[in-house]
Amino acid sequence: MKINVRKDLMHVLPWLIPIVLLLVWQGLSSLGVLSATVLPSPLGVIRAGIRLFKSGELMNNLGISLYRAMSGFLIGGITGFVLGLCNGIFKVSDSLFDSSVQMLRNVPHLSLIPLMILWFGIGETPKIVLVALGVLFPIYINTYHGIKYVDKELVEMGQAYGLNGLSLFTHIIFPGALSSILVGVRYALGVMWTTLIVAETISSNSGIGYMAMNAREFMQMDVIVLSILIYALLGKCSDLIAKLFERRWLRWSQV
Amino acid sequence: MVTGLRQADDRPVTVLHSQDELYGSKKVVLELRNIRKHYQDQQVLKGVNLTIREGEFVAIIGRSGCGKSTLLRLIAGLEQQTEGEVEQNRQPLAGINHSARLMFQNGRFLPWKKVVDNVGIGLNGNWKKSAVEALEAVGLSGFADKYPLTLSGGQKQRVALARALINQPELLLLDEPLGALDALTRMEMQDLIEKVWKKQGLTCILVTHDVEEAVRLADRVILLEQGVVSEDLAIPLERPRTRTSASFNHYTEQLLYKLLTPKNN
Repeated sequence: MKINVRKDLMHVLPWLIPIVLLLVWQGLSSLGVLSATVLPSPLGVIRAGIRLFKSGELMNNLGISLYRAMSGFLIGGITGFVLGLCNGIFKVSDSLFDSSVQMLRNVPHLSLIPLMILWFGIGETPKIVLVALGVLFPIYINTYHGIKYVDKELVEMGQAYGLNGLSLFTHIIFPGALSSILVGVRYALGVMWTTLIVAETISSNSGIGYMAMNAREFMQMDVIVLSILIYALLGKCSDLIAKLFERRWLRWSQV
Repeated sequence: MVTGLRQADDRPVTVLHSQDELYGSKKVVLELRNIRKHYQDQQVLKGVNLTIREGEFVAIIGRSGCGKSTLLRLIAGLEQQTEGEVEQNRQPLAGINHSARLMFQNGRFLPWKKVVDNVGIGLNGNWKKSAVEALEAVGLSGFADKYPLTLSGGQKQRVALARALINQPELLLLDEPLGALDALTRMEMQDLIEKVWKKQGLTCILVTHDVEEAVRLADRVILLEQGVVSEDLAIPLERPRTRTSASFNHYTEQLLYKLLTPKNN
């Protein structure tokens, strides 16, 4: 019994500080200490969420943001993965591409925003391109390193036991690199959201970032805070999904 | 042929077969001629000659760095000699030796595959059943669905043995497979290796630095010193061998003495 109580407490404990903070925040707002023009109350933010949900604005903007995030992630992720795979496996491709990719990696992709706007305007293309660029490098690097540093002894064992070419890749090299690749994916998911926030805030006429910037024009503090919270939630969700895949595919390491 | 040695219980040692009588008529499986191996400026093997016949159990002993593991890796086709010929069944070896299976000292399992899938690595078709049987044969029934990380050192080497045996190799190569095990597990594994060697009529080459292990298991002990064979000693003791018998100790002491006395060249 005693141990159970302690275990339950350990589950509750991480939530304690956020809950207390929320209560204090709501209390200060209700007492009028915190003006709604500085920071709206938690309840106010929830009300704004309901209002925007009913008008359809929230779902529209959420949908378009998700679309940009996903397409950018898929394009950049697949490109980075394939490039990392090729350079990790084939020497020719490695010496041809790797140093160029490493050079490009040092260009902060967000610095390309002005260029993107001039080239592609403020439509979907510049956002998707920016997200793809941001996602490409972490996935590339982690795939590349994962493949390069697969345990050489395991590869040798595989060869001695009759594996070669494709079978060596599917049984040993890819599974051996998988945990590193997934680290890249998790990192890339973070980059994906930050890139999108910046891109949508600077130049856009739809999306969660646009919703926040638009609300700034009208001093709708509740909508601004709501947008920030939605970004936080989206980030948390994608992290949870990535963790789920890790737990599924790397089950062997948790035994 | 009969020596004056006596076993612990004072029976005369029955040294009825010299190595030639045992294996002389059997066909030669492996022939190594004047094998040299250099790494950059370092000479590891300096002209090794060795003939191994079908069904023989040969142990190669020597100090660390004498080239015994390199020799085994050459036979497995994982390395290429600088000079000389390795022939198996009168055919020169080229590339990976698919009729040999190497049991590594550190197991080398794929941690992301279950034990049964590790045993079946490299096999095609319907191998699941034979993998389970191979596990049963090494005393690991019920372990098929576990992951390698959950196994003890002794269990891991049993899996390694099952993985090597399922391929029905002509040559079983053992690269200090028991080096990391505790004394008791090691003895159990030696018994197991001897059992499968006998049952399957394998040709075994064991690399070890444990003289006792070599005398316990081998028909012939090869001493490798500074890159050449300095001793090729037949061990014509009856099996199963008892470590406590006088004749057993006679051989271990003879080999230890040779190991500890540096070779003059």
